[in-house]
Amino acid sequence: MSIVADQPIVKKIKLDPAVTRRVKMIDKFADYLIRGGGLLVIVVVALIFFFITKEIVPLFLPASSKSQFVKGVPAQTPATAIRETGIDEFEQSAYFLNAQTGSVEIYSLADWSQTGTFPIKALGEAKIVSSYRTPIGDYLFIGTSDGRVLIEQVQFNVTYDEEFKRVVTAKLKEIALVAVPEYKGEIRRIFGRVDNKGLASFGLVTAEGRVYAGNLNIENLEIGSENIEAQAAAGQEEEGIPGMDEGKAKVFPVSAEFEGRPELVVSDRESNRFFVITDAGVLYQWYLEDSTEKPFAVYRDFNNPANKQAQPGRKPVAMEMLIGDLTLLMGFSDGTVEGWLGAREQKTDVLKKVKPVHYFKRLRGGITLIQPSARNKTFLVGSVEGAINLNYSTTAKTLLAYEIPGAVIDLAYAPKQTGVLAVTAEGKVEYRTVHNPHPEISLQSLFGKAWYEGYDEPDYNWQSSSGSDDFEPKYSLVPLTVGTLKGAFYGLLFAIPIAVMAALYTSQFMPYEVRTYVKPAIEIMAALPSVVIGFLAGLWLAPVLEDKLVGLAAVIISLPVAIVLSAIIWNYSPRRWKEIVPTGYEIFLLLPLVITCMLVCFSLGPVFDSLFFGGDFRQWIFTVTGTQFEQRNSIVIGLAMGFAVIPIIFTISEDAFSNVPKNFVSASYALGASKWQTAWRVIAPTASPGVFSAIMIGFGRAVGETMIVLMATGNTPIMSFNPLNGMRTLSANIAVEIPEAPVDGTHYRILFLAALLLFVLTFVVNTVAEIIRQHLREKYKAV
Amino acid sequence: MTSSPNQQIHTSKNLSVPLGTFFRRGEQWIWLTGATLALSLVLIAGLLFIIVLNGVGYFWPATLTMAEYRQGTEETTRTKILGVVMKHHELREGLPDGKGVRIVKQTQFKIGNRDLFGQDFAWYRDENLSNYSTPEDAVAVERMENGNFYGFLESVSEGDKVLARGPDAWKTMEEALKTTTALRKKLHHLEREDIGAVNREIKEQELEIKRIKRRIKNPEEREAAIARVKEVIARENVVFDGLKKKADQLRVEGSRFTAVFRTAGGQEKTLELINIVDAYRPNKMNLLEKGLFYVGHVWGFVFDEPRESNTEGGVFPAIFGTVMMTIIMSLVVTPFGVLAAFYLREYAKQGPLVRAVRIAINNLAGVPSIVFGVFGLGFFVYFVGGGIDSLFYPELAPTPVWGTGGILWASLTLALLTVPVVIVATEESIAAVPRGVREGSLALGASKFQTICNVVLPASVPGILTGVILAMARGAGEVAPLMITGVVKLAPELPFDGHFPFLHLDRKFMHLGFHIYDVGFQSPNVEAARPMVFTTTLLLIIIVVALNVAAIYLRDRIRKRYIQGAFA
Repeated sequence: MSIVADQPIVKKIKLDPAVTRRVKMIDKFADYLIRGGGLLVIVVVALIFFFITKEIVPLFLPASSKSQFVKGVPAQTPATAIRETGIDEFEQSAYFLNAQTGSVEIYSLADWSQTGTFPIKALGEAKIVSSYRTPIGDYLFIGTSDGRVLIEQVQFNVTYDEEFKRVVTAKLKEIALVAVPEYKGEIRRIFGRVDNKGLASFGLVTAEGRVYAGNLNIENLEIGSENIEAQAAAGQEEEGIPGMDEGKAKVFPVSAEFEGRPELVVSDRESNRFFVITDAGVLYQWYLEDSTEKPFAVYRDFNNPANKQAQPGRKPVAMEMLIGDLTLLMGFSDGTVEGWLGAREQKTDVLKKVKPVHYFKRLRGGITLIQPSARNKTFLVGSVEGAINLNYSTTAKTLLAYEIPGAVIDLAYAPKQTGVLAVTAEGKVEYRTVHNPHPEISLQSLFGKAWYEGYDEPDYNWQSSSGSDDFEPKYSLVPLTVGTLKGAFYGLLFAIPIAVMAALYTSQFMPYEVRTYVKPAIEIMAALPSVVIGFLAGLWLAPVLEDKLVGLAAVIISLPVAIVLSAIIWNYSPRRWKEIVPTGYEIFLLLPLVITCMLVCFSLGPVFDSLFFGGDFRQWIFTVTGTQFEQRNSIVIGLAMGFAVIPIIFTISEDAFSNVPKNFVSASYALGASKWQTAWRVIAPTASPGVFSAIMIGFGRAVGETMIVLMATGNTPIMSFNPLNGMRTLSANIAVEIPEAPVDGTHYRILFLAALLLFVLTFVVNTVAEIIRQHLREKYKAV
Repeated sequence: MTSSPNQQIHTSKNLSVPLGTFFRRGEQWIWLTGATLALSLVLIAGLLFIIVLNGVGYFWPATLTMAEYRQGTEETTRTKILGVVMKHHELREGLPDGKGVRIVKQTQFKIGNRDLFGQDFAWYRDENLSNYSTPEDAVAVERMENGNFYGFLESVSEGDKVLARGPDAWKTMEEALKTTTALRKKLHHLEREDIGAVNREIKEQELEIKRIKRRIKNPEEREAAIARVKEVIARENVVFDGLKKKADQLRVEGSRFTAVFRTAGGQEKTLELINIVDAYRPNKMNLLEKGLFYVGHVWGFVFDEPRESNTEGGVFPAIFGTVMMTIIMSLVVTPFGVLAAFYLREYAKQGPLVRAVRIAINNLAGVPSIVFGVFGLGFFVYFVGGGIDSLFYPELAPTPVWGTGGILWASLTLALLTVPVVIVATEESIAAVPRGVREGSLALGASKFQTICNVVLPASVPGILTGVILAMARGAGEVAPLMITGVVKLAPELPFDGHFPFLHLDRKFMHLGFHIYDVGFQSPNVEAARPMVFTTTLLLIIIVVALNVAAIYLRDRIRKRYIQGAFA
């Protein structure tokens, strides 16, 4: 210090304050920039997680609703005259059938003002006794007091005005008039369906309690001046057999020895599945194509112990079919609701009896009506006490429940599922908006078994789209997860032994000079794009392996044997030879040995094939295991995926092995252990946490691998660990389906959920592996 | 070098030991573990070998083999076939009496002439083939459509006039081909550039009308403005018609030249020369000619555009797309990766939080690429892109501009995917800068930023470079996230061209990796496309491996330098 004081050199260096200030400013600025930039990157990384989660959250939000208005029905109309309420697609207007005046009335949903009236001309002098509105297409089936069936349709026409505002105008199309043969009385009950090709099917009950079914192709029909008579005549002309002819109606009796009076009737759109419930509470089932004379099955006991909602004295009082006409919905006098599905009792059954499958939440008061949605498997139920529930059939979940004063006598569910109109016996109309974009989703439907239409038992299933509108989406992530784990399993089965043993050899028995060449080679292997591996696996390996499966099996069996034999032979070989290839350089002997062994095995494959498997291995597999050999199977995936994860497992385990402190090795040698004994008993156990984390990271890579699975499997979502068939993985499924999924739809969000699943799975696995590795490193340091 | 003690112990005695000792020592296990390493190496070598084997030969002018084929058992029904022998196969066939099997040898020919035969490849039983020959005048014709044609040249005509017939025809056709090739190029340019420009202009003006309708509320002004734009459109339409006429003229001019070919079976086929890409007689070419042909075709493969739904022609747009996407990606990933690394290493307070962030970033490298793709689709494409569209392009709705996959979104997605690679490599190289150097700089009065800029950064540049190259290699080979954020099988326009604003980051693009997937698995004619896929694969591997080798080389150099530096 004293030197400085004596010599004033320091003082001579004068700092220019401007420079200092600039330097400090730049420093400050850089500080902000780097901090800001660094934090930004970290925030973006965190954003990935939050954004994906944000897309998923709406799936699990409960449905919500808001009452828009409660208005009275028109003054001169009794509430009971209001039937078959409907709403247009854009929820601008509503309509109902006025049974008193025989007309269809249109109301604005904005202020409940009447905007139009369409008297039903074809009704003539007759009165409306019964009516039914189809959930799809707004078709009205009307049963008259003089034994005829009227088919009408309310059509909405959408136009845009000058200011691009949507204008919806309604009109009534009178389609057909069909007479019940030799009957002029009242039609007490009616039910109808119209399929997308224009075939109308209906079922009806007469005043005397006779049941009829009928059908008619209405594709180009409209009641004009001349047409109306023709239709009436057509109805009388034909009877007896179901089926259809162009423009000709068929009406035929459906008979059974009914207990009580037939009260409710439903028919599917093919005029085949047909159900009737009597006031004695008995359900009758027909397959009309099979027989119209006697029912296929009769169900009397709704209260046996097998039924979860059994309640003495309850009776079915409402009946409907969900779109697709495969689920029969029944509402009971005690407020319970059940969904019944056809299921085979034996595998050979062609026609299926129905049984209760879905039990829905009980409503307060007996059920008055069930109203299915036009788009999916949701439906509304209303009760005598004014309770209204919105249910989803597949998951038996009640999405929404609310109550209004008075018995619910009619319900309309808007086509886009965003509005509900309820009419009560007290003459009130309530309009309510509903927000419920993802009814299909519950944890049960995503991860548990669900009983789907057309299945005989609950199952895990993934089927996200189909050609038809009334398709039941199957969103179980279980088959995809199983497929993912299956692919990773077979990949690791192949990769772990090879990678870990090769790493042990490289780190323990190989001289440094050779190691410097081997490790980059493995790194190149890691760098190969997975699309290349997938392409080779799918287009080259899969067809080659189909012929050479026996050869592969031969390699697996004979390679170790050949190696051990060679090692023994080498042990006894002359010393002169051993000096050429010293210990540690065995790899130069092993390379040709492995190649030769593989070549010999593959070329002898056909010989083994004819020796052991009668010349056709695939046939042999089929006869022994009963599984068809698929060309793109799990063996191909295992090899390809294994190839992709070998380098990563190799590199990390090699690291773990060679970082074991050298004094462990020295101590082991000093105690007289051989090289292998040291490697196996000292190195391997010490490094085992590192190897474990290597395997976990390899697993993480295999789980997320997309292109290999996409290209080398058949991509069928099956739940089987059989190595001879393929799989569909979460990742490949996302890659295939997300471009077609509508943004923010259920399917889209579920694919995000699949991505989140992958993200969380790999992130957790990798973090655990990383922590293990760090822990291990500290432990080594301590030694 | 540290492993020398154990080496000395065991290498010193190359003695044979009794079998019991041998097994007790576990010598066989050393061989077995060694064999797994050998197996891994064999697998890598095998994979590269298969790709090279299948990919390299594609452009070599293959010998055309002619043979007689006996159909059925009748001696009389013999037809001649001409084509390239592709491969041989042994088929097991049950004997007619149901006892035992016999082995039937089959040969696959590429017979070409898809328009005549309906397929490019056919299998023949060797027992039915005879009289093999390799006629010198056999011609292979590469066409714009319908794949290759194999046959013999009969005559060349211009309009109705026969220019040459028989042996002289070849020379005449080569001459005529030069003319038609020039014409085809001209036509292509006309259609692509000139007509394309007019089309763009018309589209732009039509958009203008939509904009006017939105913006100008006054009906009279609106009508006037629309009328003005419509006038421009009418003018452009006149130009368009003129160009169209010109193109038609060129087409007519080109179609004057025709050549009559005869197939091996004797069928005659007239081809318009303008539809012929190349014609050659492989059986007459010598090695040098074949070599030149090969080089020319490799050139064409790299620099031409694809034809026939990507199964023929070149892969230039795919190479361009891959390179451009990789460049944009590295332009984004380098600054941000380096910033983040400097923040974590030099600025952030070291503690459990930073350690956690570091682990998280490390692990991000292990998150499946498809997850990044899903994020890119949801965030960049629909959220950011959709937002831009509704703000700046409302008149285009519902047609998306930025709200659909594009090269920018794909590059950003990949940047996110590869940013951990850059961060980790940069952090490592910053950490490797000796503390003494840093402290020396600070002691001399340099500020923190000056130290970073002048001391730490230069020292860590090779490390950063390694990280960036590794990121580029990973990015170039990644396909899954691109499939959902902007890659298409066929992009009509490159994302960079001569039209304002030159760089079209919203365009979709082609990619080598996706090209492999698409042509190999989605193509209608997989068999014909397969050799081409192998060649594309080879190209992709060359790019990726070259990048990796560069990174490994750089890294080794740095390591050496630090080791030397530590000891010096």
